[in-house]
Amino acid sequence: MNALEIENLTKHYPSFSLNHISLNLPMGCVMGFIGENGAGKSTTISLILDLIRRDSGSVRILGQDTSRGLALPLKEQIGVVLDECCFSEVLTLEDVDAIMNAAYRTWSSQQFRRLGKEFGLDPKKRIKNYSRGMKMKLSIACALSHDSRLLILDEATSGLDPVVRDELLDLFYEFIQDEEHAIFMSSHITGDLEKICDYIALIHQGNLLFCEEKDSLLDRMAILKCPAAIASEIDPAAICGKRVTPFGMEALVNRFLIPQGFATEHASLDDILVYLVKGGKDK
Amino acid sequence: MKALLIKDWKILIRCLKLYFFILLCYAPLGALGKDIGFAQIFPIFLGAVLPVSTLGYDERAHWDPYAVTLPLSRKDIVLSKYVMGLAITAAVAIYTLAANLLIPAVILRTAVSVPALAASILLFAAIAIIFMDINLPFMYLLGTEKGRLVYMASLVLVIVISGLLPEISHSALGLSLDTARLSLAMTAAAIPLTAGSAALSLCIYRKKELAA
Repeated sequence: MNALEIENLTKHYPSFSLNHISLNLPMGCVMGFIGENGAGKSTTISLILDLIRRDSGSVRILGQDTSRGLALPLKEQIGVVLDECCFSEVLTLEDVDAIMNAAYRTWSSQQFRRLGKEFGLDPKKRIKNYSRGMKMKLSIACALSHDSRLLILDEATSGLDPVVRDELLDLFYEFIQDEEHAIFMSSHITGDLEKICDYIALIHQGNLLFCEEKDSLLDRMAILKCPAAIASEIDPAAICGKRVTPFGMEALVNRFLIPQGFATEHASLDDILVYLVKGGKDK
Repeated sequence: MKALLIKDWKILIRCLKLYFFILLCYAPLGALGKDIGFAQIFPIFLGAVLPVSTLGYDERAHWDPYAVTLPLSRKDIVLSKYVMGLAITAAVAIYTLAANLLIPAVILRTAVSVPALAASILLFAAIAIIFMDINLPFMYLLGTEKGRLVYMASLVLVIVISGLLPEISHSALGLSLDTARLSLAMTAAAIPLTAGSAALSLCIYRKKELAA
């Protein structure tokens, strides 16, 4: 079963359009949703969560159609972390526990307090005294303290230092050990996604450029550096994005489509993002 | 809805301690003077304004997009504000009534006309609820920043109405049939107005885009 199925999801604004997004996230997997700022990541997540109305298309979460909104029992199974802590800063961890306990039938105060302790969150301290990292940890503790099967994370690790990000990734890794769980996470910190994701979806200017398995993507894509004079020997279909400098050409290529003898380097997700988004314009 | 009421209550007790202090002081204060009109109006009115204040806190925390992802419906989110406004106004009205009955009886050893006092407190509570009914749909439609203009305009309106009814705000010591009738009329008006306002707020909120 797929944890998330999106089919032709479309939303038009006067200055931006999200065009026919389709992707599937299988159970037991993590999908990284990448793209530059303003590409449409948050809009897609808002549509998935029914925060905004879609113009067309369909979203199925954990096998349930959401065309008439997300049913409350379904929401019990979704843990959401938005890019900021959404609790009033005057509240404390204990207050949040009381609020969420009343909101979720499956809320576990014991699990929440355990995570709070593990994260070093003072239960008596007001949220305004927490650092950004601590606020995100609080949001993540909330998402993990009820019967979540699908985590939807919108830039949950952005603005955090590498140590905190690593701790959070460990938590997500632990969560995904259960094959009945899945994670859909948007981020522009591609290094994090490279560590944890099974699938990568890249969105650019409201269009989904690809959605595929990370390993096959990283296996297929490579960076080619060569003098401009011999660049013409390469099949244009092999070049996904390029940057031409006075010293030659640097390109993101499909390794399997370039002639033998050309030396290539490993392409990171960052390279893929930059070349496809920026290099595409130079083509 | 319980979760939302708990959240708002926690915010209120943290942020609005001053309000509770005013409430504790003002309501009995009226009983000590001859003119208890303002002392009655002020705390009751503040009670009805509290849902509007909590909307401001929600907006600052970007609570609403998150709340919609919890097992709470948009209907719960909107109705919780009305329930809170009605509950606080009722509680403050009862406290004001009790204070204005007990203090004259126990401390001043003077008699108070219970029907007159109850009628004027009911009247102010109804006006306060109507004030909330006018404001909440605008707050949902415009947000708390722009909605503040409507808030100020409706506040002026309430003051003008109070000014047109001087005998009401000065009548607690003498039974006035006008006050009694008016309080019943305003209460009768507040009931459909609250229902209509809640329906309008819900309609606005259901269509509202709460982008993450």
